Amino acid sequence: MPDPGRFHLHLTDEELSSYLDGYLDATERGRVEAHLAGCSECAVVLEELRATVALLRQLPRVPVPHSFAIPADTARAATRPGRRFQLFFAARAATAMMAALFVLLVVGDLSGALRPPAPPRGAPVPEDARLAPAAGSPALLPTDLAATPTGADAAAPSAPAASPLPALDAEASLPLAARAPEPGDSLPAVEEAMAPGAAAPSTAPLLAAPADGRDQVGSGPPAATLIPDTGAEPSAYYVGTQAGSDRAAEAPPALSVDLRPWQTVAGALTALLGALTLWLARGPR
Amino acid sequence: MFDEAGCVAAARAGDLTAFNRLVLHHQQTAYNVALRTLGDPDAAEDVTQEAFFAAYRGLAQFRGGSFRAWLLRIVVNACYDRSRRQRRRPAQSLDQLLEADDTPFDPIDPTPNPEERVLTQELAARLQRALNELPADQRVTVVLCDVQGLSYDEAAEATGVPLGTVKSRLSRARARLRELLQPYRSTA
Repeated sequence: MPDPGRFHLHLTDEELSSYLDGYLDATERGRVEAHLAGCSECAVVLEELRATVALLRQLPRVPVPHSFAIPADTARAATRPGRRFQLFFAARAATAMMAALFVLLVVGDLSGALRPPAPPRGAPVPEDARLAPAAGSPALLPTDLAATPTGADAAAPSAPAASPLPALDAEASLPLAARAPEPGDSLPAVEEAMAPGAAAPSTAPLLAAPADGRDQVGSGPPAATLIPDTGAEPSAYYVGTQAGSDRAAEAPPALSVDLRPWQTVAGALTALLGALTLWLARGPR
Repeated sequence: MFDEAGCVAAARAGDLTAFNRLVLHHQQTAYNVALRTLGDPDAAEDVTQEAFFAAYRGLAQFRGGSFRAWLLRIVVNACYDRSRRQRRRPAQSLDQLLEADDTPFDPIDPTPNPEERVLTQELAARLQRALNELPADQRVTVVLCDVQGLSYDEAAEATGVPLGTVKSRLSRARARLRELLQPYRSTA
């Protein structure tokens, strides 16, 4: 039974299309046919749609240009992860290693750990004075060590030389635990260490080379953990805390931020490998 | 009679020959779907080969049902990928298509005289141009249903959409094609 309320409306594209394909149920089909019988407009549209579909069906089937069968050797390659895939992982690993090396070279240079033997003037630093903090054990430190560069290590908090220990002075009146915080101590611990050293309660003076190393012993080393490691001119961070030394007033050696040739090479190699990795990651085509 | 289920089972067990029998059986449909969807013989060739490789690699994911619909879904997705990339550097090649159509035509009409043949070629090019005007979703649906003659169910499977979506896409595609082909139909 046709729906009288809808009879005056023309048939929709979908109704006509589904009617053409016989996809309407009996009720819908009856309604569409009743409408078509009384509406020449819709009947014309239906015939044009039918002709359109007929044209599409006549579209010639184009023969395949060649067989798409998969050759045996290609099939083996197709099931394995591709060679390009393996190259991508190799290139990615190489890029990561090269980038790490590059960072190590730059940071190591800034922190002085990798610098050629050019110690602060007049203050020969035994090699083990730098290495000792790496052990993290205050007991290994030469307690009478007077002159030790510390501040520049701020550029690399994780580097061995970043330990606040080097300036440890046996004559300081601080308890051992407070004087020798482990690397990575939290800020409160540092403040605790600073508390007895009334001479320098503020962090501001830490950025300058202290004139009197003795009094700075308690506060100088924590500077290494307080100073941020990015952004500013590295030389500003070079706190030449030549604690206890008579030559403490001497200006610390300036840091060069220019890349050295081998750093440039490492950087360029990193960029090259990175580009190769990106190219491989894009996949074929 | 082509034993499709047997070939699928053997191919899944690693029999490349069985898989290639499936390829030979379906390659004409796969290629023509790609050709009519993309409107470019070279792109269609690439996409079809890619799709068969992908089908071979992903055969374990085939969960039964219509193998043709499963295969065409891979082809259709490869076509979508391709046209997305092509949109960045558009280069439609109707001339190439006309060349490709310069091949033996409808086998129902074995000896067309030259005039009819030209007309058929012109018709094919015109239809392809009209198809190219459609949005990708509608084009794919009308190619599957009207050019290849798939059922609504199979087309729904091949496009990964519900039956109702196939119906509405198909009806919109046909309505648009009716308008686009109006001048041609009146003279034909």
